[in-house]
Amino acid sequence: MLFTHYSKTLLTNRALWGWGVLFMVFWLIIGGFVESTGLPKGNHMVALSYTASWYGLINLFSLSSLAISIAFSLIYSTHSLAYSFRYTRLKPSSYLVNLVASSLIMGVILSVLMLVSTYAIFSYKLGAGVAPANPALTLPIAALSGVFMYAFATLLVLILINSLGLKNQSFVSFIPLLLGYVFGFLQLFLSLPSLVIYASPLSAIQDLLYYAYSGQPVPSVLSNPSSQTLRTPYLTVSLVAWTLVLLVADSIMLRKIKPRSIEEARQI
Amino acid sequence: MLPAYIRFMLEVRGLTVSYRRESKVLNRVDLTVGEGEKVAVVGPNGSGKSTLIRAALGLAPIVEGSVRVFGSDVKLVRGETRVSTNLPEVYRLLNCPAAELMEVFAGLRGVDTSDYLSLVEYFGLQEILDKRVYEMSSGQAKMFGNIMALGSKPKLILLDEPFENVDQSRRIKLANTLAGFGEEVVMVTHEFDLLRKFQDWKLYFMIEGTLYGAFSVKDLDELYISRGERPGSILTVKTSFGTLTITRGEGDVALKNATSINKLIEEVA
Repeated sequence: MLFTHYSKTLLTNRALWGWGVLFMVFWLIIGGFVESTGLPKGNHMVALSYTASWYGLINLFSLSSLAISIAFSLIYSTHSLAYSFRYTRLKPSSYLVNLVASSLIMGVILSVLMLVSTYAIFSYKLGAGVAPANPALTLPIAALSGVFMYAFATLLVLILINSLGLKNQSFVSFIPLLLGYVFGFLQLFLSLPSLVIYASPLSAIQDLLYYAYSGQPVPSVLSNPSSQTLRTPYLTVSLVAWTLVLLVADSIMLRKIKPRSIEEARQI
Repeated sequence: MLPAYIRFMLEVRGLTVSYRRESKVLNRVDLTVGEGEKVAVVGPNGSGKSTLIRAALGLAPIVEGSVRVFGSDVKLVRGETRVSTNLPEVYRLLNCPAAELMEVFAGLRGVDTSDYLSLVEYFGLQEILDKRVYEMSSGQAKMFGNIMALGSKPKLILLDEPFENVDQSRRIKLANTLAGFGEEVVMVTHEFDLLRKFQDWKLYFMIEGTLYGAFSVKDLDELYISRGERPGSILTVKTSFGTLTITRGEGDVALKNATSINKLIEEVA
């Protein structure tokens, strides 16, 4: 029942479609038509790598928007959750599973839309050679990424609710997107130590999506296909491990959720 | 029938609740509700009545003392479907119309949605079914909470001001429903006028975070409240606005003439 409700709510959430899809399509247009002007002409591999890196980046941002939308609904339900865990059959773990399943479905839908949009926009400018090499592989990666982003945003919101107080809400709500931008653009242009990339789940999402789209080994600098390549199994293990750890932490913190008045979030 | 080792459905001992360090909302409150007992707690606005309900549910910060629900520490209670409340905020699990919330909570509480819907029909509140809680009037939101509490078929029901902002015809229907409710009830209210419907209930007064009693609702017709200390008093309450005395048979103001404790205290103080 909760799963049906959350899925329906997410699918009909206009703000999510606006920020998670339309705004990202806008960025894809910038990437496809404005930023691509400096690309060497006729080099298929560079064009594919460039397209794949944009796909990974934009998908990361899109999933961040999704995660924030879902996780922040928690602050309106603190009393209800604290009550429901005590006086109904609802368990923190089943609540999490319901929300994770909804975010997983929405994550896959967003990812498919980003895949289609990326190909449509970039192939118009760079030619049909930028078609995704392994579109089916993007689906499980997007699903896992959706779960990670949800678990991450939920942990931040639970820290807010249980410890920091809702006054910090506006700052915390930017963290997933902010980190998405930081890690996304850092790896696009800078040579980061491999350990940092492997340890960063946000980089892992971007890199695995790049890998699925391009079908090529992931370069450590996404805008430079000839840079040192990364090992995709390590990236996968990193993302799975982070996701599991965060889900366990969410479940523990959800058990102790503090009832908070939404009025606490007022700044003035 | 409960196991013999559980003496009380609700057991509150030395309960102190504070939202801020410097002020206590509840001060060393003791209250027990045994099998079949029904309790009304009356007190003026801001006396801590709602906080008592929240603390009894584990939704308020307990600084000292303990609350046990069916023998279990309220902080550790999980999946206890024998307790319910009318606090509307606890039903805002989802942002959806009341009808959908009823379906969700029916599943979570292990009851049938028709248990809620039959009460909606009884109270003539079909118009709330398509509304979200924040779209309801305060009276509708209160009745929605009452319906969610009663329809959950609880063993122990904790009601916060169930008549507040409710129109006259529904107040009477609700009072009759509560009077015929076969299980344990704790109801806090500042309204006296409907209390007479509950003759067999225990009665407590809550003033400035302290609980006084127990009396019986039957005593209401004989009790008087006076300013200052009086000989033969059965209760003397020291408040920030002076000393109040409750006496039997004579005094400044008869409780039976009061419609609300707010007005009563204004009159005496």
